[in-house]
Amino acid sequence: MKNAAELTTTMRRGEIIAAVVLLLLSAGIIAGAWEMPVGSAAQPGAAIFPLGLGFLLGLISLGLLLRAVRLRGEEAAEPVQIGHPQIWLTLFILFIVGLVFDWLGYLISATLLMAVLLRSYSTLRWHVVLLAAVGASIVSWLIFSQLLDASLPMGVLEPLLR
Amino acid sequence: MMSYLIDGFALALRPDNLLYCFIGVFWGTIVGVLPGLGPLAGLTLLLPLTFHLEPASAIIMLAGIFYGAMYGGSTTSILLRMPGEAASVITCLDGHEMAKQGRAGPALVVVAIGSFVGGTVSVVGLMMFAPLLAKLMLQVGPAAEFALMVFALLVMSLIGTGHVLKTVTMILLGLVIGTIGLDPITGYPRYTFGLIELSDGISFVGMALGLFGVSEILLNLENIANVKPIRPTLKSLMPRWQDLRDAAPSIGRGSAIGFLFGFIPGISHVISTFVSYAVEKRISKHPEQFGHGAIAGVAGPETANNATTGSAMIPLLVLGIPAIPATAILLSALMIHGLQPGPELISKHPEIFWGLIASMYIGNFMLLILNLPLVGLFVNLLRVPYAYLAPTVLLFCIIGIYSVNTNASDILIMVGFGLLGYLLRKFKFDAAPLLLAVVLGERIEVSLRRALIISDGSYIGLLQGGASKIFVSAVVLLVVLQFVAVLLGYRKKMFSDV
Repeated sequence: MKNAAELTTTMRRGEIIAAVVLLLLSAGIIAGAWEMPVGSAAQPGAAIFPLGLGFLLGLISLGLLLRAVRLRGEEAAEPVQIGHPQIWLTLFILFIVGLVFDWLGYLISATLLMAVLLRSYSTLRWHVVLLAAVGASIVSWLIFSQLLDASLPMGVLEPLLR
Repeated sequence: MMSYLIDGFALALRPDNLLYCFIGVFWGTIVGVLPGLGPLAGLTLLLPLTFHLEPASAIIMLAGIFYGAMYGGSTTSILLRMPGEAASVITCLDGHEMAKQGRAGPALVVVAIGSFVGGTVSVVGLMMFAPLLAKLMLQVGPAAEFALMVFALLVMSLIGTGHVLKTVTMILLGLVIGTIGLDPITGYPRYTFGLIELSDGISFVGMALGLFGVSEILLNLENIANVKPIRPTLKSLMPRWQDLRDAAPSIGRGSAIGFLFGFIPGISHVISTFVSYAVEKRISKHPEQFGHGAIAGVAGPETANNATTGSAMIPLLVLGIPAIPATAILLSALMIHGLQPGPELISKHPEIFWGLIASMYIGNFMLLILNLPLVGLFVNLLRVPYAYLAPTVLLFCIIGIYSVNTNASDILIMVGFGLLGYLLRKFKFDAAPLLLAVVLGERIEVSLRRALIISDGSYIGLLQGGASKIFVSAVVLLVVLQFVAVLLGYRKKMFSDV
C-alpha cells in the first residue's frame, strides 16, 4: 500500500530528471573550472581535468536525456516508489546526529539515534526502547572507546566522565 | 620466492596475526550472511579499528573480511533464498532448491570445499603472477599508466550490468568527485567553496559507507521480508560420495573462471558466478536439472566468486588499481598505513605482500574448518529482527566513520551519499563504478598531466613507448567495440542471455 510520504514516479520520468540534474551539474563543473588556472598543454593547470570532465559529463547527460525521452514500453512505465516514511526519518535522525555529535557527545547522540530508530522500526514500548537505547550506547561505547581505543567524543558529558 | 613465503608464514602464524586473521574471516562471514551488509560495509566498519595495528596485521584482518564475506553470502542463499551479497545471487537458484529437498547440508559442504579450493587456487595464482607483473610494471611511464587506468574504467563500463550510458555517467561523476580538494600538483583549491573540511577531498570511507552501507539499509526498510530459514542438523551436513564426484569438475572449472575474471575491473566477482553457472549448464549432460537443485549449479559459481578474491588482489597490489569496490577499501587502508600499492610494494614491503599471501592460505583453511560447525550460529543470527539489526548497523557506521578522522562532518557526508546511493539504485544506476573512479581519479589526472609535461604538451607524445601504444590501442579498440555493441544491441542481448 502506498504511503502518503512516498513519491511515485516512472523510470522514464526519473531518468529525465536525473539527466537534467546532471546537465546542470556539468554546467556548474565547467563554470567552477573556468575560475581555475588553465595553464598550457605543456604545463597543464588545475582547470584542465575538471573542465574536460565537465564537458564529457554534459555530453553523456544529453545522451541520457535523449535515451530517456525516447524510452517506451514496459521499461519507461516501470513505477518507482521513493521514500518510505521510515527512510526519511532515518536520514533525518542521522543528519541531526551528524550535526550534534561533537557537542552532545557519543553517549547522548547514540541513545537518541537508537531510541528514535528502535521506536520507529519496532513495536516496542517507549520505556523498553529507552532502556535498550541507553544500554546499546553504553555497551558500544565501552567496547569501541574503552576496549578498542576508537576516538569518540564525550561532548557535554566530558566533565562527568573525566 | 620460497624464502619470502616462509617469512610470510612466520609473520602470518604469529599469535596476534592468527587472531586478526580469525577476526577478519569470522566478521567477514557474518557480514556476508547478514542481508544488508556486504564485504564493503564490513570492511569500512572495521577499517578505523585497524589504525592502531601494524600495517601487516591490518591488511591480514581486512583481507580476511573480504574473502570471508564471499563465503558467508552463500549460506543465506541456500537456507533462505536470500543472497547475503551480490556474488551469491545465482546460488539461490539451485542451492535453495537443494535445501527444500532436504539437502541443505551437502550444498553447504560443497560450498565450503569449493570456496576453499577456489580461494587457494587464486592465492597460488596471486603468488605466481603478482611479482612477475610488478617487474614489468616498473618499466611503465606516466603515459602508459594513464592509458592503463582509462582502460580499466572502460572495461568497467563494458561489463557493468546497467545501461552503458548510466555506467559511464557514474564513472564521470566519480572522477569529478575525485577532483574536489587541493589540486594534487599545484595545490590550487578546487570546488572547496572555502571550506577547510573539503581541502582533503570528500571522505572516501564516508562515501563508501553511505553508498553501500546506509543505502542498503534504506532499501531494506522498504521490504523487511518475513522469511523462515531452513535449519540443517549437523548429521544432515554430510554429502554423499556422488555429490562430491558431481561437484569436483565444477569446482575445477569455477576456480579457473573466477581467477581469470578477478583481473577485470568492475563487478567481476558477480559476473564470474553468472559465467560459471552458464558454463556448467551448457556442458552438463542434464541441463534440465539446473534450477531444480543441481549441485554443479552451486559448486561452480560459489567456487568462482571465491577464486576472484586472489586475482582481484593482483591489480590492487601490483598496479594500485582496485578491481572491485571491496579492494578499493583495501587500497585506502594500505594508504592510511603509509603504503603505496603499485609495482614497488612487493620489493619495498615484501613482509606485507608475503604475509598477506600466507594469511590467505591460513584464512581459507580457517573458513573450511570453522564455518560448517558454525552454520547453526549464522542461521540464528538471521533470527535477529531487522528492526533491531538496522539501528545497530547504523550506529556502527557512525562509530566507524567518526573514528577515521574524528570529524563529525564525515557523518553528514555519509548521510548524503546514503541518500544518493538509495536514489541511484532506485533508478538502476550502479554505484560501484563511481566509487572506483573516485579512487582512480587523482592518479589518472596526475599521470596525464605528467605525461603531457614530459611530452612538452604533445598529445601524440603520449603514444611514445611500447606499453603506451598497447594500452592506448586497447582503449581505442574498447571505445569502438562499445559503440558497435550498443548500436547492434549486442550488450542487451548478452545480459538478457545470462
